[in-house]
Amino acid sequence: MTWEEKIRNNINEEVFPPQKDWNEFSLKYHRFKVLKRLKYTSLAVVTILVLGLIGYHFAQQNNKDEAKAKIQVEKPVIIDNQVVNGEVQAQTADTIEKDFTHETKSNKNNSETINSVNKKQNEVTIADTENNIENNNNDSIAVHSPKAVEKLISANFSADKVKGCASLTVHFTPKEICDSAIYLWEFGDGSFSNKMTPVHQYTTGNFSVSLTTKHFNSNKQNQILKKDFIIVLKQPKADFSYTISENNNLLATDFSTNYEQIQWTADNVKYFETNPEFSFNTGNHTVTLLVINQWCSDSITKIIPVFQKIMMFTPTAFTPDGNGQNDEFKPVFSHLPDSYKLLIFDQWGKIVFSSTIVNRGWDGKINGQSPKEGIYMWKIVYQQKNNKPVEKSGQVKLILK
Amino acid sequence: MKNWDLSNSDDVYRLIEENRKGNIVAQRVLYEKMSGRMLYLCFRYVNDMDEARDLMHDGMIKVFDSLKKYKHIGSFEGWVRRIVLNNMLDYLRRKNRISFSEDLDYRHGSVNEAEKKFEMECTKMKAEMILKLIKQLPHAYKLVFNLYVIENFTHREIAEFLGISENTSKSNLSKAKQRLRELYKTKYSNKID
Repeated sequence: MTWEEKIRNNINEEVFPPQKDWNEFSLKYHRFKVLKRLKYTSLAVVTILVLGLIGYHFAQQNNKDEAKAKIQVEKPVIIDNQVVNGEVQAQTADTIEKDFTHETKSNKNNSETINSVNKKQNEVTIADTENNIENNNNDSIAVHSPKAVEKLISANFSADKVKGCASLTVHFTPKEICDSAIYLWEFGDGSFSNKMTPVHQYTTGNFSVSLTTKHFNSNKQNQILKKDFIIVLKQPKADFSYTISENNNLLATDFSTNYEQIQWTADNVKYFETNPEFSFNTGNHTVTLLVINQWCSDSITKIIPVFQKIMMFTPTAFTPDGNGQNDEFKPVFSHLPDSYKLLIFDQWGKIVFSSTIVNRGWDGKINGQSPKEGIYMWKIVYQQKNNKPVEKSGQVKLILK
Repeated sequence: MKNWDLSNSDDVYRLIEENRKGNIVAQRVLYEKMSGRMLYLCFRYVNDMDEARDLMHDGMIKVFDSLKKYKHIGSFEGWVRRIVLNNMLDYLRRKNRISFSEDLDYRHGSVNEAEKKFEMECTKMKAEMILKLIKQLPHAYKLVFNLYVIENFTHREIAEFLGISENTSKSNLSKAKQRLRELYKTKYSNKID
Protein backbone atom coordinates (compact mmCIF):
# COMPACT_ATOMS: atom_id res chain seq x y z
CA MET A 1 0.00 0.00 0.00
CA THR A 2 1.57 3.24 -1.11
CA TRP A 3 1.42 6.36 0.99
CA GLU A 4 -1.06 7.94 -1.47
CA GLU A 5 -3.52 5.11 -0.92
CA LYS A 6 -3.17 5.45 2.79
CA ILE A 7 -3.86 9.15 2.67
CA ARG A 8 -6.79 8.49 0.35
CA ASN A 9 -8.26 5.98 2.75
CA ASN A 10 -7.71 8.34 5.64
CA ILE A 11 -9.42 11.14 3.89
CA ASN A 12 -12.27 9.07 2.46
CA GLU A 13 -13.11 7.80 5.91
CA GLU A 14 -13.66 11.33 7.01
CA VAL A 15 -16.77 12.85 5.47
CA PHE A 16 -18.78 15.90 6.32
CA PRO A 17 -22.14 15.04 7.84
CA PRO A 18 -25.19 15.25 5.51
CA GLN A 19 -25.98 18.86 4.95
CA LYS A 20 -29.31 20.14 6.23
CA ASP A 21 -29.58 22.98 3.74
CA TRP A 22 -32.02 21.23 1.41
CA ASN A 23 -34.34 24.23 1.42
CA GLU A 24 -31.61 26.55 0.23
CA PHE A 25 -30.52 24.05 -2.39
CA SER A 26 -34.04 23.35 -3.65
CA LEU A 27 -34.57 27.07 -4.06
CA LYS A 28 -31.41 27.31 -6.11
CA TYR A 29 -32.39 24.27 -8.13
CA HIS A 30 -35.85 25.70 -8.75
CA ARG A 31 -34.33 29.01 -9.88
CA PHE A 32 -32.02 27.13 -12.20
CA LYS A 33 -34.92 25.23 -13.76
CA VAL A 34 -36.96 28.39 -14.21
CA LEU A 35 -34.02 30.16 -15.80
CA LYS A 36 -33.41 27.25 -18.14
CA ARG A 37 -37.07 27.18 -19.20
CA LEU A 38 -37.03 30.95 -19.58
CA LYS A 39 -33.95 30.71 -21.74
CA TYR A 40 -35.56 28.21 -24.13
CA THR A 41 -38.89 30.01 -24.28
CA SER A 42 -37.24 33.36 -24.86
CA LEU A 43 -35.10 31.82 -27.58
CA ALA A 44 -38.21 30.41 -29.23
CA VAL A 45 -40.05 33.69 -28.88
CA VAL A 46 -37.14 35.63 -30.36
CA THR A 47 -36.84 33.29 -33.31
CA ILE A 48 -40.58 33.47 -33.95
CA LEU A 49 -40.46 37.24 -33.71
CA VAL A 50 -37.54 37.47 -36.12
CA LEU A 51 -39.24 35.14 -38.58
CA GLY A 52 -42.45 37.10 -38.29
CA LEU A 53 -40.65 40.37 -38.88
CA ILE A 54 -38.91 38.99 -41.94
CA GLY A 55 -42.19 37.63 -43.28
CA TYR A 56 -43.95 40.93 -42.61
CA HIS A 57 -41.15 42.83 -44.32
CA PHE A 58 -41.37 40.68 -47.43
CA ALA A 59 -45.15 40.87 -47.52
CA GLN A 60 -44.98 44.64 -47.32
CA GLN A 61 -42.42 44.78 -50.07
CA ASN A 62 -44.67 42.62 -52.25
CA ASN A 63 -47.60 44.91 -51.54
CA LYS A 64 -45.51 47.93 -52.49
CA ASP A 65 -44.42 46.27 -55.69
CA GLU A 66 -47.99 45.36 -56.55
CA ALA A 67 -49.17 48.85 -55.84
CA LYS A 68 -46.35 50.28 -57.97
CA ALA A 69 -47.18 47.90 -60.77
CA LYS A 70 -50.86 48.86 -60.61
CA ILE A 71 -50.10 52.54 -60.74
CA GLN A 72 -47.68 52.01 -63.58
CA VAL A 73 -50.26 50.04 -65.53
CA GLU A 74 -53.14 52.36 -64.91
CA LYS A 75 -51.56 55.78 -65.36
CA PRO A 76 -50.34 55.60 -68.94
CA VAL A 77 -53.45 53.94 -70.28
CA ILE A 78 -55.82 56.81 -69.57
CA ILE A 79 -53.68 59.81 -68.80
CA ASP A 80 -51.26 59.59 -71.72
CA ASN A 81 -53.84 60.51 -74.33
CA GLN A 82 -54.86 63.62 -72.50
CA VAL A 83 -51.31 64.73 -71.85
CA VAL A 84 -50.59 64.27 -75.53
CA ASN A 85 -53.72 66.21 -76.43
CA GLY A 86 -52.73 69.02 -74.11
CA GLU A 87 -49.26 69.26 -75.67
CA VAL A 88 -50.76 69.29 -79.10
CA GLN A 89 -53.07 72.12 -78.15
CA ALA A 90 -50.20 74.12 -76.66
CA GLN A 91 -48.07 73.61 -79.77
CA THR A 92 -50.83 74.71 -82.07
CA ALA A 93 -51.33 77.82 -80.00
CA ASP A 94 -47.61 78.66 -80.33
CA THR A 95 -47.61 78.18 -84.07
CA ILE A 96 -50.67 80.39 -84.46
CA GLU A 97 -48.94 83.07 -82.47
CA LYS A 98 -45.80 82.87 -84.64
CA ASP A 99 -47.82 83.00 -87.82
CA PHE A 100 -49.64 85.96 -86.58
CA THR A 101 -46.45 87.84 -85.69
CA HIS A 102 -45.08 87.18 -89.16
CA GLU A 103 -48.17 88.67 -90.68
CA THR A 104 -48.20 91.66 -88.39
CA LYS A 105 -44.62 92.66 -89.17
CA SER A 106 -45.91 94.27 -92.33
CA ASN A 107 -48.50 96.32 -90.49
CA LYS A 108 -46.28 97.88 -87.87
CA ASN A 109 -48.89 100.35 -86.75
CA ASN A 110 -51.30 97.87 -85.33
CA SER A 111 -48.86 95.08 -84.67
CA GLU A 112 -48.07 95.81 -81.05
CA THR A 113 -51.59 96.18 -79.80
CA ILE A 114 -52.86 93.17 -81.70
CA ASN A 115 -49.84 91.17 -80.62
CA SER A 116 -50.30 92.00 -76.99
CA VAL A 117 -53.98 91.14 -77.13
CA ASN A 118 -53.24 87.97 -79.00
CA LYS A 119 -50.47 87.00 -76.57
CA LYS A 120 -52.75 87.49 -73.66
CA GLN A 121 -55.37 85.34 -75.28
CA ASN A 122 -52.81 82.67 -75.99
CA GLU A 123 -51.55 82.79 -72.44
CA VAL A 124 -55.05 82.36 -71.22
CA THR A 125 -55.69 79.42 -73.46
CA ILE A 126 -52.40 77.79 -72.51
CA ALA A 127 -53.09 78.34 -68.86
CA ASP A 128 -56.55 76.90 -69.36
CA THR A 129 -55.22 73.82 -71.06
CA GLU A 130 -52.65 73.36 -68.29
CA ASN A 131 -55.37 73.65 -65.71
CA ASN A 132 -57.41 71.18 -67.64
CA ILE A 133 -54.54 68.76 -67.76
CA GLU A 134 -54.02 69.06 -64.05
CA ASN A 135 -57.70 68.66 -63.40
CA ASN A 136 -57.88 65.70 -65.68
CA ASN A 137 -54.86 64.17 -64.00
CA ASN A 138 -56.44 64.60 -60.61
CA ASP A 139 -59.72 63.17 -61.84
CA SER A 140 -58.17 60.20 -63.49
CA ILE A 141 -56.02 59.40 -60.44
CA ALA A 142 -59.06 59.73 -58.21
CA VAL A 143 -61.12 57.48 -60.42
CA HIS A 144 -58.52 54.83 -61.08
CA SER A 145 -56.89 54.50 -57.70
CA PRO A 146 -57.01 50.87 -56.48
CA LYS A 147 -59.59 51.69 -53.86
CA ALA A 148 -62.07 53.17 -56.32
CA VAL A 149 -65.21 51.17 -56.94
CA GLU A 150 -65.44 51.97 -60.63
CA LYS A 151 -62.48 50.24 -62.10
CA LEU A 152 -61.96 49.99 -65.83
CA ILE A 153 -60.32 46.91 -67.20
CA SER A 154 -58.41 47.12 -70.43
CA ALA A 155 -60.28 45.41 -73.25
CA ASN A 156 -57.16 45.02 -75.33
CA PHE A 157 -56.32 41.48 -76.28
CA SER A 158 -53.95 39.40 -78.34
CA ALA A 159 -54.00 36.08 -80.11
CA ASP A 160 -51.26 33.54 -80.68
CA LYS A 161 -52.11 33.37 -84.43
CA VAL A 162 -53.96 35.82 -86.62
CA LYS A 163 -53.32 34.26 -90.02
CA GLY A 164 -53.53 30.74 -91.18
CA CYS A 165 -55.36 28.13 -93.16
CA ALA A 166 -58.69 26.49 -92.66
CA SER A 167 -59.63 24.95 -89.34
CA LEU A 168 -57.30 27.36 -87.54
CA THR A 169 -57.22 27.04 -83.73
CA VAL A 170 -56.56 30.38 -82.05
CA HIS A 171 -55.77 31.01 -78.34
CA PHE A 172 -56.91 34.43 -77.18
CA THR A 173 -55.48 36.25 -74.15
CA PRO A 174 -56.68 39.55 -72.76
CA LYS A 175 -54.07 42.19 -71.95
CA GLU A 176 -55.25 42.62 -68.40
CA ILE A 177 -55.99 39.41 -66.56
CA CYS A 178 -58.21 40.02 -63.55
CA ASP A 179 -60.11 37.42 -61.59
CA SER A 180 -62.86 39.82 -60.66
CA ALA A 181 -63.56 40.85 -64.26
CA ILE A 182 -66.17 39.64 -66.69
CA TYR A 183 -65.00 38.93 -70.23
CA LEU A 184 -67.22 38.62 -73.29
CA TRP A 185 -65.59 37.50 -76.49
CA GLU A 186 -67.26 37.74 -79.91
CA PHE A 187 -65.33 35.68 -82.38
CA GLY A 188 -66.83 37.21 -85.54
CA ASP A 189 -68.39 34.03 -86.84
CA GLY A 190 -71.46 34.30 -84.65
CA SER A 191 -70.08 32.48 -81.61
CA PHE A 192 -69.36 33.89 -78.14
CA SER A 193 -67.38 32.94 -75.08
CA ASN A 194 -67.28 34.05 -71.45
CA LYS A 195 -63.94 32.45 -70.67
CA MET A 196 -60.96 34.56 -69.70
CA THR A 197 -58.61 32.93 -72.20
CA PRO A 198 -60.77 31.20 -74.81
CA VAL A 199 -59.76 28.92 -77.64
CA HIS A 200 -61.66 29.09 -80.90
CA GLN A 201 -61.56 27.15 -84.13
CA TYR A 202 -62.08 29.07 -87.36
CA THR A 203 -63.11 28.02 -90.85
CA THR A 204 -62.19 29.98 -93.99
CA GLY A 205 -62.87 33.71 -94.08
CA ASN A 206 -62.05 37.08 -92.50
CA PHE A 207 -63.22 37.57 -88.91
CA SER A 208 -63.52 40.64 -86.71
CA VAL A 209 -62.98 39.84 -83.02
CA SER A 210 -64.23 41.98 -80.16
CA LEU A 211 -63.69 41.80 -76.40
CA THR A 212 -65.91 43.45 -73.84
CA THR A 213 -64.63 43.67 -70.27
CA LYS A 214 -66.32 44.80 -67.12
CA HIS A 215 -65.35 44.74 -63.46
CA PHE A 216 -68.09 42.85 -61.66
CA ASN A 217 -68.34 45.69 -59.16
CA SER A 218 -68.47 48.45 -61.72
CA ASN A 219 -71.05 49.84 -64.14
CA LYS A 220 -68.57 50.88 -66.82
CA GLN A 221 -67.43 48.51 -69.47
CA ASN A 222 -64.69 48.57 -72.06
CA GLN A 223 -64.94 47.27 -75.59
CA ILE A 224 -62.38 46.87 -78.31
CA LEU A 225 -63.25 45.61 -81.78
CA LYS A 226 -60.46 44.52 -84.07
CA LYS A 227 -61.62 44.41 -87.68
CA ASP A 228 -60.46 41.52 -89.86
CA PHE A 229 -58.27 40.39 -86.98
CA ILE A 230 -58.27 36.75 -88.01
CA ILE A 231 -57.80 35.81 -91.66
CA VAL A 232 -58.20 32.18 -92.60
CA LEU A 233 -57.47 30.85 -96.08
CA LYS A 234 -58.36 27.49 -97.56
CA GLN A 235 -55.86 24.76 -96.84
CA PRO A 236 -53.95 23.87 -100.04
CA LYS A 237 -53.97 20.25 -101.09
CA ALA A 238 -51.28 18.71 -103.27
CA ASP A 239 -51.99 15.85 -105.66
CA PHE A 240 -50.78 14.77 -109.10
CA SER A 241 -50.91 11.91 -111.53
CA TYR A 242 -48.42 10.85 -114.20
CA THR A 243 -47.98 8.85 -117.36
CA ILE A 244 -44.81 7.43 -118.80
CA SER A 245 -44.48 7.86 -122.53
CA GLU A 246 -42.74 5.43 -124.89
CA ASN A 247 -39.60 7.52 -124.80
CA ASN A 248 -39.38 6.99 -121.03
CA ASN A 249 -40.48 10.56 -120.49
CA LEU A 250 -42.68 11.18 -117.49
CA LEU A 251 -45.58 13.55 -117.98
CA ALA A 252 -46.96 14.78 -114.67
CA THR A 253 -50.41 16.29 -114.34
CA ASP A 254 -51.24 18.55 -111.42
CA PHE A 255 -54.54 18.04 -109.54
CA SER A 256 -53.78 20.31 -106.56
CA THR A 257 -56.31 22.81 -105.16
CA ASN A 258 -56.26 26.13 -103.29
CA TYR A 259 -52.76 27.23 -104.09
CA GLU A 260 -50.90 30.17 -105.56
CA GLN A 261 -47.47 28.77 -106.30
CA ILE A 262 -46.34 25.38 -107.40
CA GLN A 263 -42.98 23.69 -107.22
CA TRP A 264 -41.89 20.32 -108.46
CA THR A 265 -38.83 18.53 -107.24
CA ALA A 266 -37.68 15.57 -109.27
CA ASP A 267 -34.45 13.97 -108.11
CA ASN A 268 -33.38 17.20 -106.37
CA VAL A 269 -33.99 19.35 -109.46
CA LYS A 270 -36.67 21.99 -109.19
CA TYR A 271 -39.29 22.84 -111.83
CA PHE A 272 -41.90 25.55 -111.71
CA GLU A 273 -44.25 24.60 -114.60
CA THR A 274 -47.75 23.45 -113.78
CA ASN A 275 -47.57 20.24 -115.82
CA PRO A 276 -43.91 19.45 -116.43
CA GLU A 277 -42.36 16.66 -118.47
CA PHE A 278 -39.36 14.89 -117.03
CA SER A 279 -36.98 12.76 -119.09
CA PHE A 280 -35.82 9.95 -116.91
CA ASN A 281 -33.36 7.14 -117.07
CA THR A 282 -34.40 3.73 -115.83
CA GLY A 283 -34.65 3.33 -112.12
CA ASN A 284 -36.66 4.74 -109.23
CA HIS A 285 -37.33 8.47 -109.19
CA THR A 286 -38.63 10.62 -106.37
CA VAL A 287 -41.06 13.28 -107.51
CA THR A 288 -42.31 15.81 -104.94
CA LEU A 289 -45.04 18.35 -105.56
CA LEU A 290 -45.15 21.35 -103.22
CA VAL A 291 -48.05 23.80 -103.40
CA ILE A 292 -48.04 27.04 -101.44
CA ASN A 293 -50.60 29.70 -100.77
CA GLN A 294 -50.04 32.88 -98.78
CA TRP A 295 -49.28 31.18 -95.45
CA CYS A 296 -49.63 27.43 -95.80
CA SER A 297 -48.24 24.66 -97.88
CA ASP A 298 -48.84 21.04 -98.71
CA SER A 299 -46.71 18.49 -100.43
CA ILE A 300 -46.96 15.02 -101.83
CA THR A 301 -44.12 12.69 -102.75
CA LYS A 302 -44.33 9.76 -105.09
CA ILE A 303 -41.65 7.25 -105.96
CA ILE A 304 -41.98 6.41 -109.65
CA PRO A 305 -40.17 3.43 -111.17
CA VAL A 306 -39.12 3.80 -114.79
CA PHE A 307 -38.15 0.71 -116.73
CA GLN A 308 -36.00 0.36 -119.76
CA LYS A 309 -37.95 0.25 -122.97
CA ILE A 310 -37.91 -3.10 -124.66
CA MET A 311 -36.94 -3.21 -128.33
CA MET A 312 -38.17 -6.17 -130.34
CA PHE A 313 -37.03 -7.32 -133.76
CA THR A 314 -38.83 -9.97 -135.77
CA PRO A 315 -37.46 -11.56 -138.96
CA THR A 316 -39.62 -11.39 -142.04
CA ALA A 317 -38.57 -14.79 -143.38
CA PHE A 318 -36.86 -18.00 -142.27
CA THR A 319 -35.60 -21.27 -143.81
CA PRO A 320 -36.09 -24.40 -141.69
CA ASP A 321 -33.65 -26.56 -143.67
CA GLY A 322 -31.40 -27.55 -140.80
CA ASN A 323 -28.28 -25.78 -142.02
CA GLY A 324 -27.98 -23.82 -138.83
CA GLN A 325 -28.97 -20.47 -140.30
CA ASN A 326 -32.44 -18.99 -139.85
CA ASP A 327 -33.82 -22.39 -138.93
CA GLU A 328 -36.36 -21.02 -136.45
CA PHE A 329 -38.74 -18.12 -136.27
CA LYS A 330 -38.35 -16.20 -133.05
CA PRO A 331 -38.24 -12.54 -132.05
CA VAL A 332 -35.12 -10.88 -130.73
CA PHE A 333 -35.48 -8.69 -127.59
CA SER A 334 -33.15 -5.98 -126.37
CA HIS A 335 -33.72 -7.50 -122.96
CA LEU A 336 -36.07 -10.11 -121.68
CA PRO A 337 -39.67 -9.11 -120.78
CA ASP A 338 -41.37 -10.44 -117.70
CA SER A 339 -44.08 -12.30 -119.58
CA TYR A 340 -44.15 -13.37 -123.22
CA LYS A 341 -46.42 -15.25 -125.59
CA LEU A 342 -45.93 -16.14 -129.27
CA LEU A 343 -48.80 -17.31 -131.47
CA ILE A 344 -48.52 -18.31 -135.14
CA PHE A 345 -51.53 -18.69 -137.40
CA ASP A 346 -51.81 -20.18 -140.81
CA GLN A 347 -53.65 -18.61 -143.70
CA TRP A 348 -56.94 -19.88 -142.37
CA GLY A 349 -56.51 -18.26 -139.04
CA LYS A 350 -55.79 -21.53 -137.31
CA ILE A 351 -53.20 -21.58 -134.51
CA VAL A 352 -50.31 -23.74 -135.65
CA PHE A 353 -47.79 -22.94 -132.91
CA SER A 354 -47.67 -21.29 -129.52
CA SER A 355 -44.84 -20.63 -127.10
CA THR A 356 -44.31 -18.79 -123.81
CA ILE A 357 -40.53 -19.17 -123.78
CA VAL A 358 -38.57 -16.53 -125.62
CA ASN A 359 -35.77 -18.83 -126.77
CA ARG A 360 -38.05 -21.51 -128.06
CA GLY A 361 -38.87 -20.45 -131.64
CA TRP A 362 -40.96 -22.11 -134.35
CA ASP A 363 -39.18 -24.57 -136.57
CA GLY A 364 -41.88 -24.54 -139.27
CA LYS A 365 -43.40 -27.91 -138.33
CA ILE A 366 -47.15 -28.19 -137.92
CA ASN A 367 -48.23 -31.02 -135.65
CA GLY A 368 -44.92 -32.75 -136.30
CA GLN A 369 -45.27 -32.71 -140.07
CA SER A 370 -42.66 -31.21 -142.32
CA PRO A 371 -42.95 -27.51 -142.92
CA LYS A 372 -44.85 -26.05 -145.82
CA GLU A 373 -43.77 -23.00 -147.69
CA GLY A 374 -46.03 -20.00 -147.37
CA ILE A 375 -46.87 -16.85 -145.45
CA TYR A 376 -47.82 -17.10 -141.80
CA MET A 377 -49.19 -14.59 -139.35
CA TRP A 378 -47.61 -14.08 -135.94
CA LYS A 379 -48.78 -12.35 -132.83
CA ILE A 380 -46.52 -11.55 -129.89
CA VAL A 381 -47.75 -10.32 -126.52
CA TYR A 382 -45.19 -9.28 -123.93
CA GLN A 383 -45.37 -7.30 -120.74
CA GLN A 384 -42.99 -5.36 -118.55
CA LYS A 385 -43.71 -5.25 -114.87
CA ASN A 386 -46.20 -2.45 -113.95
CA ASN A 387 -46.53 -1.46 -117.61
CA LYS A 388 -49.31 -2.25 -120.03
CA PRO A 389 -48.90 -5.43 -122.14
CA VAL A 390 -47.61 -4.76 -125.64
CA GLU A 391 -49.25 -6.63 -128.47
CA LYS A 392 -47.63 -6.81 -131.90
CA SER A 393 -48.42 -8.78 -134.99
CA GLY A 394 -46.94 -9.25 -138.44
CA GLN A 395 -46.18 -11.66 -141.26
CA VAL A 396 -43.36 -14.11 -141.82
CA LYS A 397 -42.40 -15.97 -144.97
CA LEU A 398 -41.41 -19.63 -144.73
CA ILE A 399 -39.01 -20.45 -147.50
CA LEU A 400 -37.84 -23.94 -148.44
CA LYS A 401 -35.07 -24.58 -150.95
CA MET B 1 -39.59 7.90 4.92
CA LYS B 2 -37.74 4.80 3.85
CA ASN B 3 -34.16 4.38 4.94
CA TRP B 4 -32.25 4.33 1.69
CA ASP B 5 -28.84 2.67 1.55
CA LEU B 6 -26.64 3.96 -1.25
CA SER B 7 -24.26 1.00 -1.02
CA ASN B 8 -27.16 -1.21 -2.18
CA SER B 9 -27.40 -1.02 -5.98
CA ASP B 10 -31.15 -1.83 -5.98
CA ASP B 11 -31.80 1.07 -3.66
CA VAL B 12 -29.69 3.38 -5.86
CA TYR B 13 -31.61 2.27 -8.93
CA ARG B 14 -35.01 2.87 -7.31
CA LEU B 15 -33.90 6.21 -5.87
CA ILE B 16 -32.78 7.42 -9.30
CA GLU B 17 -36.00 6.23 -10.90
CA GLU B 18 -38.02 8.08 -8.27
CA ASN B 19 -35.93 11.18 -8.90
CA ARG B 20 -36.57 10.97 -12.61
CA LYS B 21 -40.31 10.87 -11.94
CA GLY B 22 -39.94 14.16 -10.10
CA ASN B 23 -40.48 12.81 -6.55
CA ILE B 24 -39.40 15.68 -4.29
CA VAL B 25 -38.90 13.41 -1.28
CA ALA B 26 -36.54 11.21 -3.27
CA GLN B 27 -34.71 14.29 -4.49
CA ARG B 28 -34.19 15.41 -0.92
CA VAL B 29 -32.92 11.99 0.11
CA LEU B 30 -30.47 11.94 -2.79
CA TYR B 31 -29.26 15.42 -1.97
CA GLU B 32 -28.73 14.71 1.71
CA LYS B 33 -26.94 11.43 0.99
CA MET B 34 -24.55 13.08 -1.44
CA SER B 35 -24.12 16.59 -0.03
CA GLY B 36 -21.65 15.70 2.75
CA ARG B 37 -19.25 13.88 0.46
CA MET B 38 -19.46 16.48 -2.25
CA LEU B 39 -18.99 19.36 0.16
CA TYR B 40 -15.88 17.67 1.46
CA LEU B 41 -14.68 17.19 -2.09
CA CYS B 42 -15.16 20.84 -2.87
CA PHE B 43 -13.68 21.96 0.38
CA ARG B 44 -10.40 20.33 -0.49
CA TYR B 45 -9.95 22.66 -3.45
CA VAL B 46 -11.08 26.00 -2.05
CA ASN B 47 -10.22 27.62 1.24
CA ASP B 48 -13.58 29.18 1.96
CA MET B 49 -16.41 27.04 3.31
CA ASP B 50 -19.11 29.24 1.71
CA GLU B 51 -17.38 29.03 -1.64
CA ALA B 52 -17.18 25.27 -1.29
CA ARG B 53 -20.88 25.11 -0.42
CA ASP B 54 -21.80 27.20 -3.50
CA LEU B 55 -19.65 24.96 -5.69
CA MET B 56 -21.32 21.90 -4.21
CA HIS B 57 -24.75 23.36 -4.87
CA ASP B 58 -23.89 24.17 -8.46
CA GLY B 59 -22.50 20.71 -8.99
CA MET B 60 -25.56 19.05 -7.46
CA ILE B 61 -27.85 21.15 -9.66
CA LYS B 62 -25.95 19.83 -12.67
CA VAL B 63 -26.34 16.31 -11.29
CA PHE B 64 -30.09 16.69 -10.94
CA ASP B 65 -30.32 18.32 -14.36
CA SER B 66 -28.47 15.53 -16.13
CA LEU B 67 -29.94 12.68 -14.10
CA LYS B 68 -31.99 11.68 -17.16
CA LYS B 69 -28.76 10.89 -19.02
CA TYR B 70 -27.46 8.47 -16.36
CA LYS B 71 -27.44 4.95 -17.76
CA HIS B 72 -26.85 2.86 -14.60
CA ILE B 73 -23.34 1.97 -15.72
CA GLY B 74 -20.60 2.01 -13.09
CA SER B 75 -20.87 3.49 -9.64
CA PHE B 76 -23.43 6.23 -9.18
CA GLU B 77 -21.31 8.06 -6.62
CA GLY B 78 -18.40 8.09 -9.06
CA TRP B 79 -20.65 9.62 -11.69
CA VAL B 80 -21.87 12.32 -9.29
CA ARG B 81 -18.31 12.99 -8.12
CA ARG B 82 -17.15 13.35 -11.71
CA ILE B 83 -19.85 15.91 -12.52
CA VAL B 84 -19.20 17.95 -9.39
CA LEU B 85 -15.46 17.82 -9.98
CA ASN B 86 -15.77 18.90 -13.61
CA ASN B 87 -18.00 21.77 -12.63
CA MET B 88 -15.53 22.82 -9.96
CA LEU B 89 -12.51 22.59 -12.23
CA ASP B 90 -14.32 24.77 -14.76
CA TYR B 91 -14.98 27.27 -12.01
CA LEU B 92 -11.40 27.26 -10.79
CA ARG B 93 -10.01 27.60 -14.28
CA ARG B 94 -12.27 30.60 -14.90
CA LYS B 95 -11.57 32.22 -11.58
CA ASN B 96 -7.87 31.79 -10.95
CA ARG B 97 -6.25 31.29 -14.33
CA ILE B 98 -3.90 28.82 -12.67
CA SER B 99 -0.33 29.07 -13.92
CA PHE B 100 1.56 25.84 -13.71
CA SER B 101 5.30 26.09 -13.38
CA GLU B 102 6.94 23.82 -15.90
CA ASP B 103 10.12 22.30 -14.57
CA LEU B 104 12.11 20.72 -17.34
CA ASP B 105 14.72 19.31 -14.94
CA TYR B 106 12.19 17.08 -13.28
CA ARG B 107 12.92 13.40 -13.69
CA HIS B 108 10.37 10.85 -12.67
CA GLY B 109 11.38 8.44 -9.87
CA SER B 110 14.01 10.65 -8.30
CA VAL B 111 12.56 10.58 -4.78
CA ASN B 112 15.08 11.61 -2.23
CA GLU B 113 15.34 10.36 1.35
CA ALA B 114 13.71 13.37 2.94
CA GLU B 115 10.72 13.00 0.72
CA LYS B 116 10.37 9.34 1.59
CA LYS B 117 10.45 10.19 5.23
CA PHE B 118 7.77 12.74 4.77
CA GLU B 119 5.62 10.22 2.91
CA MET B 120 5.98 7.81 5.79
CA GLU B 121 5.00 10.58 8.16
CA CYS B 122 1.96 11.43 6.05
CA THR B 123 0.49 7.95 6.43
CA LYS B 124 0.43 8.45 10.15
CA MET B 125 -1.22 11.87 9.90
CA LYS B 126 -4.90 12.35 10.38
CA ALA B 127 -6.97 13.44 7.42
CA GLU B 128 -7.88 16.67 9.12
CA MET B 129 -4.23 17.60 9.47
CA ILE B 130 -3.41 16.86 5.84
CA LEU B 131 -6.40 18.89 4.77
CA LYS B 132 -5.14 21.85 6.76
CA LEU B 133 -1.73 21.53 5.16
CA ILE B 134 -3.13 21.22 1.66
CA LYS B 135 -5.09 24.41 2.11
CA GLN B 136 -1.85 26.35 2.47
CA LEU B 137 -0.50 25.17 -0.89
CA PRO B 138 -0.63 27.41 -4.00
CA HIS B 139 -3.50 26.71 -6.39
CA ALA B 140 -1.59 24.73 -8.97
CA TYR B 141 0.10 22.44 -6.42
CA LYS B 142 -3.11 21.99 -4.50
CA LEU B 143 -5.00 20.99 -7.65
CA VAL B 144 -2.47 18.45 -8.80
CA PHE B 145 -1.97 17.01 -5.35
CA ASN B 146 -5.70 16.67 -4.77
CA LEU B 147 -6.34 15.12 -8.17
CA TYR B 148 -3.43 12.72 -8.07
CA VAL B 149 -3.26 11.65 -4.45
CA ILE B 150 -6.79 11.90 -3.22
CA GLU B 151 -8.96 11.60 -6.33
CA ASN B 152 -6.58 8.92 -7.68
CA PHE B 153 -6.35 10.18 -11.27
CA THR B 154 -3.38 9.31 -13.41
CA HIS B 155 -1.01 12.02 -14.62
CA ARG B 156 -2.39 11.64 -18.14
CA GLU B 157 -5.96 12.26 -16.95
CA ILE B 158 -4.85 15.28 -14.94
CA ALA B 159 -3.00 16.64 -17.97
CA GLU B 160 -6.20 16.26 -20.00
CA PHE B 161 -8.31 17.91 -17.33
CA LEU B 162 -6.16 20.95 -16.88
CA GLY B 163 -4.83 21.27 -20.40
CA ILE B 164 -1.18 20.81 -19.39
CA SER B 165 1.50 18.28 -20.24
CA GLU B 166 2.03 15.11 -18.23
CA ASN B 167 5.50 16.25 -17.13
CA THR B 168 4.11 19.51 -15.79
CA SER B 169 1.64 17.52 -13.72
CA LYS B 170 4.41 15.31 -12.37
CA SER B 171 6.74 18.20 -11.51
CA ASN B 172 3.90 20.09 -9.83
CA LEU B 173 3.06 17.05 -7.72
CA SER B 174 6.67 16.73 -6.67
CA LYS B 175 6.85 20.39 -5.76
CA ALA B 176 3.57 20.11 -3.86
CA LYS B 177 5.03 17.33 -1.80
CA GLN B 178 8.19 19.31 -1.18
CA ARG B 179 6.18 22.30 -0.06
CA LEU B 180 3.97 20.14 2.12
CA ARG B 181 7.02 18.80 3.84
CA GLU B 182 8.31 22.29 4.51
CA LEU B 183 4.95 23.34 5.89
CA TYR B 184 4.79 20.24 7.99
CA LYS B 185 8.26 20.96 9.35
CA THR B 186 7.44 24.50 10.37
CA LYS B 187 4.20 23.50 12.10
CA TYR B 188 5.21 20.29 13.76
CA SER B 189 8.99 20.80 13.83
CA ASN B 190 9.38 18.68 16.93
CA LYS B 191 7.93 15.60 15.23
CA ILE B 192 10.29 15.55 12.29
CA ASP B 193 14.04 16.01 12.45
